[in-house]
Formats: sequence, C-alpha cells, structure tokens
Amino acid sequence: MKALLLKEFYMAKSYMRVFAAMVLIFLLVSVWANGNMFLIMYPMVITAMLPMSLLSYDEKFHWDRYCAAMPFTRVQVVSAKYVFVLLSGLAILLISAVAQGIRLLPAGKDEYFMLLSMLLAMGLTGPAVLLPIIYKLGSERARIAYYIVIGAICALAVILPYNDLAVAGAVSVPAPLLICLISVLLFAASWLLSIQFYKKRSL
Amino acid sequence: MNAIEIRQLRKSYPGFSLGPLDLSLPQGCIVGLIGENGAGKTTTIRLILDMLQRDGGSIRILGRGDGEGVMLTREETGVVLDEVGFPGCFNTRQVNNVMRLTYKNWDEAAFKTYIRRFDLPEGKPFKDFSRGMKMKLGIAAALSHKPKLLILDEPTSGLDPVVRDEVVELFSEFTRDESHSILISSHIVSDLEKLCDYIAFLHKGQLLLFEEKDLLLSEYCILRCTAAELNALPKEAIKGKKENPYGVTAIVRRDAAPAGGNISPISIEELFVFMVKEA
Repeated sequence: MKALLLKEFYMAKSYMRVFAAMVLIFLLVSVWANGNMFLIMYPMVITAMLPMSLLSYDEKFHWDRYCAAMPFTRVQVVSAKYVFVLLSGLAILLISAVAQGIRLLPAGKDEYFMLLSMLLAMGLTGPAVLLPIIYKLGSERARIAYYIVIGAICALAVILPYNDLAVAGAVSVPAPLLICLISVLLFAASWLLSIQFYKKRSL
Repeated sequence: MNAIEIRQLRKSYPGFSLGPLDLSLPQGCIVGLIGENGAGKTTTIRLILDMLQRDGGSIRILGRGDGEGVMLTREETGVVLDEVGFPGCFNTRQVNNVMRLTYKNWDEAAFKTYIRRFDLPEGKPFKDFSRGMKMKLGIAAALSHKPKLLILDEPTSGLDPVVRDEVVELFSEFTRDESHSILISSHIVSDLEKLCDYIAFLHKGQLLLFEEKDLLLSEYCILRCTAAELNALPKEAIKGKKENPYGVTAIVRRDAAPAGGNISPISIEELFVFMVKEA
C-alpha cells in the first residue's frame, strides 16, 4: 500500500503542479473575498477530481495492467486511491479550516462548521460517485459521467445558500454533523462498490 | 516441477476463442509462445497473470494453484508486458523507490547495476525514453526482485537488432540458474529460435504444436520435389506445403523424406509459417 501511495504522490506532484498553484491562490484569495462560495469550494472540487485524473493516467501508461502483476491485491489497488482521496481532501480541509477560521470564527461558529461540513461533502461526494463508475467502465467510457459530476458539484458550490441558512439560524445544530455522516457513509459505500467492480474487471 | 502448468484453459470473446489449451513450462527452461498477431499469445499471458477471468481450466504457477500463495507467486514472478507500465513522469530513481516498497526481495544494488549496464539516464522521465530504453527499464525492474519465473509478452518487438540481441543474451543469462524459467511470447520467431528450449505455436486461439525446439529442428526438414513425389509420401509425414510452377516445397518428417531427395534443414520460422498456412 505504501508503494501505491508513493506512486500516487509522485504522479500528483508531477502532473498536478498547475492545479496545486491554483488551489493555493484560491485558498488565499477566499479569505478576503467576503464569502465567495466559488473561491472557497473550488480548491476542494479540484482536489476531489484529482484521483480521477490519476486513474486516467494509470490507464494511459498501462500502469493498471503492470500493477496487476505485482504483489498487490485488487483491494489494495482500489484502497490506495481512496486513501489518497482522504489524505489530499484532509489536507485541503485543514488549510481551508484555518483560512476560513480567520474570516468566520470571530462572527460565530455556526456558519464556520456548516462551511467545513460542506467542504468535506464536496471532497468526498465527487470521488464517491465517480470512482466506482471508472472502476467499472474505465476512464475513457466514464468521461461523460465525469463532466456531469464536475458540473453538478460546481453548480452546487455556487447555488447552495449556506450563508443565509447559517446566519439566519435556520440550520439546526447537528446539520453539519449530518452532512459529514452522509458523506462519509456514501464514501464508504463507494469504496466497497469500487472494490467489487475492480475485482471483476478485465485488465 | 513445472514452473507453469496450464490445463484445459479456455477464454472466449465475441469473435475469438482461446483453447482448450494445455501447456507446461518445465523448471529451468524457456518456452517460446509463437503466433501471429491476434493468435492468443497476450490473452494466454493475461490469463496466467490473472488479469482476465478464465472461462475454464486451471493454471498452476511455481507449484501453486488457484488462490494458493498468490502474493508469494507474484513476488517470485518478474513480468515484462508489451507496454512497460511505468507512469510517464517516473525517472529511474522513482521506479527504484516504488519498487523497493513493492517487493520484499527488491535488490537496489542489482537494479542500479542494470541501469548502468543498459546505459539508462537516471533523471530522464520515462515518457521521454525510446521504446528500447523503456523495455530495458522494464527488464531491469523484472530482474531486480530476484524472480524465479519471468513472463515476457513481446519484449523484443519494436527493438532494433542490437538491443534485441542484448535482451536475448540477458534472458539466456537468467536461465543459467536451473531454478529460473521463462515464458516468452513473440512473433519475432528468430529471437525465440535463439533462446528457447521449447516452442509452442498458437494460431487462432488453438495450440498447433508444443515441442522441444531441438527435436523439432531434427525431426523436420524442407523437401523440394514434384507434386507426384510428395503424394507418394505418407500424409501424416507432411506438415505443410507450398506449390509453385516449378514443383512443391514441403515440410516433412525427416525419417519419411525420400533418400537422395532435395532436402534442407528447417528453421522454426519456416515451420511456423507452413503450419499456419495449412491450419
């Protein structure tokens, strides 16, 4: 598993430099952008899409076949991608938590925790929906689903009325917790589904 | 013991059917899987490597059957596929770092020695390697975790003759240890003729022949004669024939060839071409 994670890290470092720079800029700008949801959510959306790009690179370079001959189980191969999603998403969540904490915490905790839960949901839902489709169909055939999910996530990031809900106190206390719970369950179900699909996949 | 033992292996796709296939790779030997494009060589190798689900049959590798010590078998098997599967951004240092964490028996010193021997650039990304360099890196990686078995799918295709010769020499070196075995597929028959102890001909998913190479070369010969002279031979002695306005060129069993006839030694390539045309 460590080998697979190291490989993901090398690939992300090499192919996603521009994305990393964009993520950093958006994170910084979002602190002073007075709650612009697109700026706040965009780094997480980009990070959430990272594993799908890495999977298509795996297929392009025939790593998926090569890796199948190495001493890894298919469960490990799939799990490495999901762990990578968690690690990269967690990193963005932590940076966002600090950045948005500077902006929101002086005014209260409700909006802050609502925002963090939505960020977590963004980070987990995209991969949770897309990874099983890619493991089932391959990245080329799953491309249409990929664009639909990116579009849906971007649209949600812009139209969801977190500010109004949180500021008006319309959100009950456990709402962020509920969002986190649903996202994590969806992610876990997706993980298991991907393993089942990949076990049966011809390489 | 057989390093690989395949019994009644079957796999069907729309428009293509492999097997039932029976094939063995005796330990310490090199078996060459020869076939034209689409004959089923890669499908056979992918089935052995469990990349495809078979429709039937059994495969034992290094004495282990289905589900027995799968990870250990993979530790002991070096694989080079027709497309070496390293990510394009990897340099040799990164390959070493990932492989070191992948294989328990990874020999970093051996890997570095191969890199120097093959004159591979250390900092250059894999995507900028020539095909020959890519294949050499794949072979270096396959040999550096001390495998007992090498499975090679078209490792010499697309390589220039000098590199092909180097690679063939390296595989010969590998089997000097009697516990080492190689299954190699190629449609470049001349490479396999140099290298292999056993030859298997695949054609349209069926095994046409599986025999010791030296036995094949001594058992068959090329006979140039008239059609009438050929017809006088027993049918089972004729493996294939080509007719032309001047007579017939046929592959026949040496013991059935007429004494004093125009016979010459046969190459594996000629035998394969004749047999495929007859099939």
